[in-house]
Amino acid sequence: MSDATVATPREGVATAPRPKIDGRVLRAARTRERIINATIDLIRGGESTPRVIDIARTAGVSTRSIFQHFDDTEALFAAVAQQVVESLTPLAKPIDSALPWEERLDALMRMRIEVNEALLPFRRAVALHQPRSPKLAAGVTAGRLFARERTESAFAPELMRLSEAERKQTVDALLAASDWQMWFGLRMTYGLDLEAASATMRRMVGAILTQATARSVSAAA
Amino acid sequence: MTILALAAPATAHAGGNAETRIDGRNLRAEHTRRKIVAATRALVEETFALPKVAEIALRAGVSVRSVFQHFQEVDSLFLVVFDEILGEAQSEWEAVEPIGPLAGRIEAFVTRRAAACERVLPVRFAAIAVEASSPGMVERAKVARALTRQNIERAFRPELDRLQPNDRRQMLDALRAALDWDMWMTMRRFHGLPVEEAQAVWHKIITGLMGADV
Repeated sequence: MSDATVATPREGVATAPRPKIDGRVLRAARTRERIINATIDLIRGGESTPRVIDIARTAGVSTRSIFQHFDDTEALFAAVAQQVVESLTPLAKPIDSALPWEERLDALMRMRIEVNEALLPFRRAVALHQPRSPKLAAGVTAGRLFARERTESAFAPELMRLSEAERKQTVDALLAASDWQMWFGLRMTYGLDLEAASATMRRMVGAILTQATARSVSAAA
Repeated sequence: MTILALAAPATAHAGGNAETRIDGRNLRAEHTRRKIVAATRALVEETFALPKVAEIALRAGVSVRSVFQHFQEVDSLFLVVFDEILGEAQSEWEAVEPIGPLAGRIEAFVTRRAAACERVLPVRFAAIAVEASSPGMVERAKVARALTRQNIERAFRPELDRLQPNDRRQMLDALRAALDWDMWMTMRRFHGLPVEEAQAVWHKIITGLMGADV
């Protein structure tokens, strides 16, 4: 580093010595975090597309600073999506497939409903930006694949006994019935409270599992 | 425009001139209007998004100014297209009558509902971008959902009427949410299911909810 500084003194002016860089990096990381959290707060508050000027005000930074940290709003929204997904990942613990059927259903519903409820404020923002944001779309796909994996492993004993086509259809139906769009529909479009929406979603998912179980039993017999 | 001005004195001699001229203009205006609506519709159905005015003008073969002369805002133009497509889907809807075995009614309802939602899919998908800011779109969604509710209640009346009021409401909410056009959109656009597979998922959910024999 010092050699380089000697060799190119001009660059030495632009890039500060190491300790200073670390302090800057730390500050930059904190500012970045503040911007992301401010955006999340605004979306939670009902702004599906927060304006940069509002994000700056909420974060206590300048609008110029936002674009120093993010190339464009697409990059900012992608970072927001990543932060939200990371905060929810711990909720999606694997479900032991050795547990009784009803307990696995309860565990799956608890997990799906908790995540769906936390994502409720982001539904409109995602629907709005997903078609134009490859990163956001990739994030949503990753989340769905994750939910699929959890569902498949939780009900592996029942699903294994089904034909391949029937198994895919059952998993597709389980995911659709517990999808956040379904939750959004129940909670927002049809105005059900948490309890009623939970009961309704459990009814749908349970009904699909009952069909699958009935089929797997008749297939085994 | 110059041709019009030149032609005007000639027709003036023909008598009944003023009326004819206005009618001719109205006719042309109506023709242009239709071209703009058709171009917007074609673009929405191809791209699943709201087209820009310049794209609409290009497709319709008219000037951008002309688009704005006919529609002050793109939103109102989009609503015309939305109404047109939704109107077609609704007029083609063949009611599922509350008679016969449940399994047959589920099959018929799901098949027809899937066809209707598939038809509306591009314009519904595009509408998400304006729904939050368009009272007209919110109102249309409300009306469409009320109509779907009636269709569901009609098809499954025997089963619904057997339930206690609370259970009935919950069952109806579940059916409405499951058969919502946005659920179709989610399966088709976000879960990547082809029409037949999305329809099979609906069939499974509704059959499970209503407890029909599988």
